[in-house]
Amino acid sequence: MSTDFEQKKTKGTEFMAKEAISTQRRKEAKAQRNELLPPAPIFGAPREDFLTLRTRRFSPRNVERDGFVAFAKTFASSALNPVLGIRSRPRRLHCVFALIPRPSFPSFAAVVILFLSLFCRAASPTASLPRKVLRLARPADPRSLDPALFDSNQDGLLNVLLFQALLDITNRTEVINNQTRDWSVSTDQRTYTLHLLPGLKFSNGRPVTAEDHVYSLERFFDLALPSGKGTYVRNIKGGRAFSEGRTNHVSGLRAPTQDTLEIELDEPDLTFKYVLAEDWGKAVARETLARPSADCGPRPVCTGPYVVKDWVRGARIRFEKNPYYFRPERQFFDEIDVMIGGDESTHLMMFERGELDIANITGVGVPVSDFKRLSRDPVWKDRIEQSPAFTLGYLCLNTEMPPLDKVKVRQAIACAVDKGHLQRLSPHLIDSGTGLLNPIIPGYDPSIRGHAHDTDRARQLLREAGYPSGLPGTLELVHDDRQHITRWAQALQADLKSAGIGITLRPVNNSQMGSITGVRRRVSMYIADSNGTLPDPKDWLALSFHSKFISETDSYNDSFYSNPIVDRLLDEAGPCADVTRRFELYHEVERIVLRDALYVPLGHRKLFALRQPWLKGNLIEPIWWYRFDRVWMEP
Amino acid sequence: MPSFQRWLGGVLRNRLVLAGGCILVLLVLSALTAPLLVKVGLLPSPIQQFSTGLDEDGMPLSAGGKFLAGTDNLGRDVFSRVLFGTRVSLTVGVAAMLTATLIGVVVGVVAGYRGGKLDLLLMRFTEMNMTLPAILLAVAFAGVMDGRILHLHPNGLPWHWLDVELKRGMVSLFLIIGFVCWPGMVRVIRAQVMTFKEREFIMASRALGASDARLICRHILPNILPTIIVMAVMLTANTILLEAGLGYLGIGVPPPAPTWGSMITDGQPYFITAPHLVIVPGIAIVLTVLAFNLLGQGLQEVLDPKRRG
Repeated sequence: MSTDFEQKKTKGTEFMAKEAISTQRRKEAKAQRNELLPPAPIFGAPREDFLTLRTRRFSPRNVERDGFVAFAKTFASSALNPVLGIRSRPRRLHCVFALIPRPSFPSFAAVVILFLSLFCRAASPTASLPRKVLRLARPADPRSLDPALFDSNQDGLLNVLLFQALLDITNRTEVINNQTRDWSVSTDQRTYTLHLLPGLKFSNGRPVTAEDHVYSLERFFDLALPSGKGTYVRNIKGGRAFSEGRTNHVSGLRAPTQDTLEIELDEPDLTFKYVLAEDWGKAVARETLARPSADCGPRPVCTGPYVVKDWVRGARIRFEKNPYYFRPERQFFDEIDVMIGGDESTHLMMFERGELDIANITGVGVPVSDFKRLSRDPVWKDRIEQSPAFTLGYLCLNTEMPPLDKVKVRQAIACAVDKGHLQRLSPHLIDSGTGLLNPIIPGYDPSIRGHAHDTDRARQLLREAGYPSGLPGTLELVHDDRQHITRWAQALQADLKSAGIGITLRPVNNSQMGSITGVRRRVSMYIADSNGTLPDPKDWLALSFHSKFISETDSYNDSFYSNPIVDRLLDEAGPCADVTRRFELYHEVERIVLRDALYVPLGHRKLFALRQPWLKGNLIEPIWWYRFDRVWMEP
Repeated sequence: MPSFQRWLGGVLRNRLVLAGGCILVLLVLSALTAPLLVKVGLLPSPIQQFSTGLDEDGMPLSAGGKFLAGTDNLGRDVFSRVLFGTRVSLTVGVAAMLTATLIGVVVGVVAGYRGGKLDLLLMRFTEMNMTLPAILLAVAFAGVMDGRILHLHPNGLPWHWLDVELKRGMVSLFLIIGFVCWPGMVRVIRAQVMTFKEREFIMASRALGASDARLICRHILPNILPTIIVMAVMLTANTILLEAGLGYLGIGVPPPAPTWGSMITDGQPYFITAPHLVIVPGIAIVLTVLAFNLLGQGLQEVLDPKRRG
């Protein structure tokens, strides 16, 4: 018994001793394993521990022993470092990895399976094609997306994506159908008849009818509408009575059938076809407006190729496809992403990094400061496109504010301006334009010129005006804050100073510019580089210089000029069916205006575009500038 | 006199004062002589736009040749503009420093000397001002300077001499900067005044019948003058930086007057193609601020006996 007992005791002791040794070994092994990972105060961990880990071969056994995190680190370093050419990884990354608890092998396996399943899914035949996103940028939010309310050309570029007009204008200033099947004008040029295309729908799915166009045009006669665009349609019969509240319908606007729109004018108007190709020919969904003067809002129901997906003010606007657009084959992008913020230089940097598809859409296309560099850069030089722009750069002088109410003072300013100076500042930018009409416009006459640069004559004119030692005080010159305009303003400041005319500069942003220049007795002089609305002399001359377009707060005649002779010539030219006679009348007006120095023409500038090589199609046009709805992305 | 000579010797032996002083003397000399140099034809006018100042592409010329530091985007000489910018920066900076020092010393002395509720009121007002970032406050003030006329007389009375035209210029600029930079000085001055007013010589003077004004002017202010000088010199660096900052934001002295801040703004779009447009005025700002900081620190070492050890 005792022997058995002793034997058992000995075996038991041996067993316990073995167990103790085994436990001790396991503890030692565990301690050894734990030592491989950084200790609790991570940032003080010795570097050797990480090196050991990195050089260890990975296997399921090692994974089980060291944990998933160690495996992931080893895998990442062994797989990625040779590819990336990295010899060692940042030490802090290890510390971050080491903070993560180590999962067991089953959880690791689950993660691997999940990871692989993602790859399988991506590679499956049902996977969607990459989305085509056009990436643009602009410095500020548009004032409005409503075609009746936006007031700058930059806003108009986005508006074309949402709303399309009944007619369209080609580069040769021909008017063609867009959302119409056909259109005609009566022989007396007073009645326009348009037939809408069948199947036109708003983005909410409702069919577009002629009544919608009647409603959209009647909005411009609503005096509560905060827009100056009503001037362009005031010729429609019955508009005045509607504005004054004497009728509840504009008699000249009719919709005899669902797809027929008739517009009757008070006077013959050769340019009304252009009006219908612009913002006045765009239909808004009346059921979405609380009242006619209300804004369409940030996500308007529209008829164009895209709709607003979301608009985070000050950050971005995203457009997506309009599911009811009548030409789906022309919706080239799944999304158009417009970043808001930054200036021309920032946008150019983003473009060069490949973050934007078009370099600049609000300035001149390529910032003046970078034109030389880009035009000599082997990557970009062949991708700069240019086109004449439908613009006029000019200095406007307010004839109601002294001392500019004196014609000799205005003429002195016109003589002091050195156009050659502006040409030297940006030789690639300005076309030599000397008159008020853009060369694209029918009836342009290159022989009509303003005052030539002559500083001595400017001083002489000032003396004759009663200022022998130059103008007392300073005049304020308002200009928008775009790069090239700021340079023009500073150049003009120097030119005028040499003639004895002191100028202080007041830079404002583009939207402010539009709101202050039409206010009576507010701005003495300003520089603009504005885009024409209609390609006809009437738009450039009648609106700017006829006294009937003077108003207190929203004047189109922003030099506030009133001359009965000019008014008579313009009244005669407007409805004149004889084209030759019509142009002669406008030329006469142009000569008088240049003589009286209401506008000092600074030149017609060019338009540039710089786009990524994968963007195809006709991007720039003289009249519309950039047409994002006409470009597509190469796969 | 011997004590002043000893003090002057101490000042001149200090390396920081010497370095800062030398830079500052150079800057002041260049600012003073710039118009003369233009007059004798050694320096181009800072506002003259040279037809030869731009290349055939309308781009600024780099440094060298006729233009020592190159030309800007309008063909103007950058070196000349930087020198004339020194005049604006130093004038506005020093004038703003004097304005801020005046306000700071008055408020600090009154609060420290009077104590009680007035001290409480003035210090809370000061702290309130300190919570607002100086640059934002300056921008807000500058925004008001839009040319409007402030009528400081009752309606109906023809006291137009009281009308103030709020327009941008050097005077309005240094007033704006001065009005936003004073709070930092108040606390130190107040603490110094509170210490001194309890000292025996002040109490003795008071016992002899000295008025408050005499105590402040004859006894307290002379004793805290070293502190005021050091703080004022250090403050000048801040006012110059603020002036450059406002110029950069386009609300400083209006163009075509050259200021360092506006030069950097104008040159910013050309940073890749013509970096000298930003670098040259940037160096001028750094040098000036460095000079005032070195001078301030050196003076602190010389004037503060505790630091001198």
